[in-house]
Amino acid sequence: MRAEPTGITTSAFEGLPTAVGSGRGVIGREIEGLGIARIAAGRGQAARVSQLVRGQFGLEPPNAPRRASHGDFAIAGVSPCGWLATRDHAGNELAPSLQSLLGGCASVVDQSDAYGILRLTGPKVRETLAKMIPLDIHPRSFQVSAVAQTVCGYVNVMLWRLEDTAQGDPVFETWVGRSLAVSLHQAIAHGATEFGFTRQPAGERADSGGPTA
Amino acid sequence: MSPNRLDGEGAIRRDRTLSFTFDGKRYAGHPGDTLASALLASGVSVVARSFKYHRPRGILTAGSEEPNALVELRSGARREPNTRATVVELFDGLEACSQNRWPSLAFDIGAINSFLSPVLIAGFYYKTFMWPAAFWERLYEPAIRRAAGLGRASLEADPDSYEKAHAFCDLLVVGGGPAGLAAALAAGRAGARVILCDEDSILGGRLNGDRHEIDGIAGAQWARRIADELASLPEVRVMTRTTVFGAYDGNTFGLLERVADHLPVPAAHQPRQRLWKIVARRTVLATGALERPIVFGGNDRPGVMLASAVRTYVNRFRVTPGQRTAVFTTCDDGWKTAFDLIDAHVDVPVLVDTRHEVPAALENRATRHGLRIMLGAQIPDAHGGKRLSGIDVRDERGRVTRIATDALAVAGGWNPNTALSTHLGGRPRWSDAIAAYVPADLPRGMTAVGAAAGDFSLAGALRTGTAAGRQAASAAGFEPTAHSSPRVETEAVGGAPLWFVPGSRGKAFVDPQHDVTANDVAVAAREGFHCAELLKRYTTLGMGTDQGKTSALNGHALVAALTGRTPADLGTITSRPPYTPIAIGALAGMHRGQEFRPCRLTPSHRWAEGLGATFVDLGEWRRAKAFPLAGERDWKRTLVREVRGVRTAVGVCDVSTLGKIDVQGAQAGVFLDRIYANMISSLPVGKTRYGIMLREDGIVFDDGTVARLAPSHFVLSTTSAHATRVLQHLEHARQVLWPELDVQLAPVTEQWAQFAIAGPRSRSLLERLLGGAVDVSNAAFPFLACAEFQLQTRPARLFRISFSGELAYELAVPACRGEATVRAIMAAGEELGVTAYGMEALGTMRIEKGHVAGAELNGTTTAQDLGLGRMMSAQKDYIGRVLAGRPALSAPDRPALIGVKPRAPEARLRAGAHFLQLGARPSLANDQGFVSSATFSPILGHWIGLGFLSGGQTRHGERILAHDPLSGGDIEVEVTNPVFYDPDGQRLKG
Repeated sequence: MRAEPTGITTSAFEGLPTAVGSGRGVIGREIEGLGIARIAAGRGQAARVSQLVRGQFGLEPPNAPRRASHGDFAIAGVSPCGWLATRDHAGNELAPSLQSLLGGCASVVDQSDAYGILRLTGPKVRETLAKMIPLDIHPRSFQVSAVAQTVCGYVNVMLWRLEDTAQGDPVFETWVGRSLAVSLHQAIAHGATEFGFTRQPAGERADSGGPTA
Repeated sequence: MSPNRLDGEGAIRRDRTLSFTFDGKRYAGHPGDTLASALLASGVSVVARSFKYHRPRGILTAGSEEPNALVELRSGARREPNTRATVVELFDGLEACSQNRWPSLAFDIGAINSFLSPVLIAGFYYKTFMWPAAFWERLYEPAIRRAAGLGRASLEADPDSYEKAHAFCDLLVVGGGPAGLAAALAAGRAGARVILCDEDSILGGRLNGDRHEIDGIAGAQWARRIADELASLPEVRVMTRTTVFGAYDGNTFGLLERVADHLPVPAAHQPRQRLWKIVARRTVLATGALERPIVFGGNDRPGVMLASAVRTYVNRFRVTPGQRTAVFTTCDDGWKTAFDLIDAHVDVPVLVDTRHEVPAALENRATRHGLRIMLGAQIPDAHGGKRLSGIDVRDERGRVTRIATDALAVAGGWNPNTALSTHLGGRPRWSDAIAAYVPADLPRGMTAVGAAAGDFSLAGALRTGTAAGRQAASAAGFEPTAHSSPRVETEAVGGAPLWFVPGSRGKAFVDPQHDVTANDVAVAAREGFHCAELLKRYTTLGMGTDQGKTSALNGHALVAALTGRTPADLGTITSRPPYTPIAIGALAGMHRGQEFRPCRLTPSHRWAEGLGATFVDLGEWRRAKAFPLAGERDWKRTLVREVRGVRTAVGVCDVSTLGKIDVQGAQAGVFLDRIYANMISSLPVGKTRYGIMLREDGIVFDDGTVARLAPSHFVLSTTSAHATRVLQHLEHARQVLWPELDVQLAPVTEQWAQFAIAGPRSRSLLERLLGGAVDVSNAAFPFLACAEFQLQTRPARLFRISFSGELAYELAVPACRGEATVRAIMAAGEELGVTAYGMEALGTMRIEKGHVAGAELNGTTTAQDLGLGRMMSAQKDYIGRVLAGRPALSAPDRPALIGVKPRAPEARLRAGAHFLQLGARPSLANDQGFVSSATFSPILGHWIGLGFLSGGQTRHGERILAHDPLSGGDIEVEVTNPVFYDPDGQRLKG
């Protein structure tokens, strides 16, 4: 008999409720298909990595927990001489392409499938996240492009702040290890219930979802 | 209906009437009332019975410090004991019941304890119930437990939800009275991030209970005006109904916001309470002061109330505590109460001031009102039963007069509310000027202002509050704005303390909640319990739900006086969080039931659910335990089917939980040689090797496989339990031990879904599944081979490794394809008889093969104990090598891994049983080891186990006893080779 295709992908948030409470205080959208690669510079090679990234993508890899982006490519500092690079819709293609660019001076590891990613916005997103995240996410303290490794309702997450929406609502992304996506979703939905929470599955366009990934 | 309700404006809304019940009887109140004010308005004098003597008790205060008026609120699942009626906001349909009484509040059998009071003195527990000793457990303790405790908790599940929240600010202002308002306003106007909290439903503090004028308007109105301005400032958050209950390290504070406590039930999607964790650069302690009662005979009679509380009930709630209200004061503040009562047309039969001289302004005003005043006088006793009926007043010449009154306002002076200033260990300092403790040694960044700092004047509160607010704003980098200070009248705030009225005949209560009397304190002093801490423990003074807010200082001062010292000599106790009781539900937040803690789900979880799998939580993970078919009620039947399915055909199991770490770098091989006890750098590309790593102390830390994908690229697997710790261990080695090595690490557990495909037909299954993407023939892909390849345009990895002992592979695919892949595996294996198997079968097969797992890698075993001694390389250095060579770790009599099987084929072996020589007495000295893992072996048809037996490697064939007193039974077992199945390993190489 013929084998069934193994190529169907499953959302990390598959089967979870797409609306909780009433209202649109918090609007979530799942980001799928993002190419994600962890880059770690070889010993003494950080400058070379920066130079190659700058040459290829036209931006400087930040040496701090901050995100820099150009077009569909973004890179954030996540550890000393370590970065996380993303490219929209690149999926598993990103890591090999970075590997060929940086192969001699850095290790590149594909992480495109390691995370469940929720992009969150809406007038009550900050109040909702403040219920679970023990970080100061005031606009002056956690500015656009900031990245933090933190916890959200006892779940380890990476928190990203992107450009605000046209309406002025802040936009955050929570990246959670895929296996914990359900626990994170429970926490966010619980915190957002009083404001109303809706989540668009990946692929559906958010009407106030900030810049596209 | 409301005999004690006064006319005039207050903070209640008379346009609406709210109906409520107390002990089943219906009463009415208004929005803005507390339960206490509504009960007082309705003429209810007794609301509770005291803890020990069951004396009738009324309402002493108008705030959260209330020791007496504890009630059960609501009913059914929402029933909540020990709720202070003084802080419960009235709502329509509120149900409250008195507690600690039987059969009723009016007639309580327990009141008989009053007659036993000569026995029930301080230290009663320590002096009685001493003999006969056997009675303690059977009689005394159960009886005491029945009598102890206050109120009854609901035994039903709490239907409400709770949550937690975090906030950060430049300035946290604790208390929304005049000082707090001034501080918040000064900092808020400058642009600082300010959080202002108050436990009341409205801001203003004493401004709502007193009659002050600020900037030409009433104090309460001024407070509303400031509240409005604060609400308009974008960086200011005002949190009413919020108690700051604790100060913690790192400028962190715990707060409880009562989001919906004032409603019959929370609104849809609204939490009942919210627990806040706030980090503040600066804190202003504007917690005000708590008024002291005076200790005299009968001072607990319903109708005796703190003078400031009387003012609050009169001015804010428009309620008088009685038809006639006398005043007993030691300070100027008490006079305000008399004047407010007179202005509210309440009869004040007498004002008794213990001082011989008072400010002339007060005396003049009293004269104008025709108020009878007695200076240098005292009230030794109050009389009455369920309601105060009269007071004995002893004038300065010692003559005692009985004066009829049904209420008495008591003003013993004020204690700054220092609680939060002491949570981090700071000791308050005694101030002779105010005869009370003031905050000293404050936590970093905290400033006390106004009454909390011992400045009891309104002008002082506004001035110190403003200064602290401006200072906090400057510290946060904001320029304070120039605003003129509010104008207020000057007021008299003097006083002279009186700790105890001598010559009292009746019971004089120091701590009314715990029924600690002046006599109890005297007994403690006589028996040598002289210091504040011992006094507390011996008498239980201040150990009630109110934590001695109104009683502690009186008790300390009393014992100081009795032992010829001053309160300053005696010292005081520090308080600890929480300031007021906090419900466990609020501390738990959303983490209850199934959401008690985060849970990791495997990539195939939904598929397994669809098959009706049972699950087991192992560490962080929830894994499929077994896949019972319809009608398979017996776990053993499922186990046997799953194991046989694997051993005779093919099975699939999700093993994604095993830790996976990507190791790259020019010196990755060298690095791994130092991490693992066995050699890794010699591993060829395209091969996998089993490895063990030791801790620095020579004990086995973890085991797993290492696959070499490229010359400088390895992927390790760890046990599921140790995935995080192994990564930490590796990072420590990389960053701290050998930073000179060119090595990079990345955790990749979440990236890959990995499935074990095991059994004699696994190769056929893979051929069907992979469609030639990899040549899986034995020649091309032998045992321990590994490969990276593309599977339907996505990366995939295949490893030929086996935990079951069968021909087996592990296939890794990107995690988002895990579910589709396991379904594809099942489809590809359908004609081959594929079986989904879970943790039970996995565990059974590894025991049959003698593979060690968590129960054997238990943090006490060496490689030699586990039979893996030959893996320890002598060619290189590695973590744990030196200490593994300690003589005790290689002693021949150490417990070593063995197999055991029962002599009687049907006998059930259990993990945890201890090994004894046949005929030996069970004792620690005779203990020879234990069973670490046990299972029923479907292949062998009987129970088998792995365990550690002293000198075990040389004892195969011996008969010993597995002693298991916990599970009831000893069984005779035979020591065997730990590999029960296919000891030569022929099957996995097939």
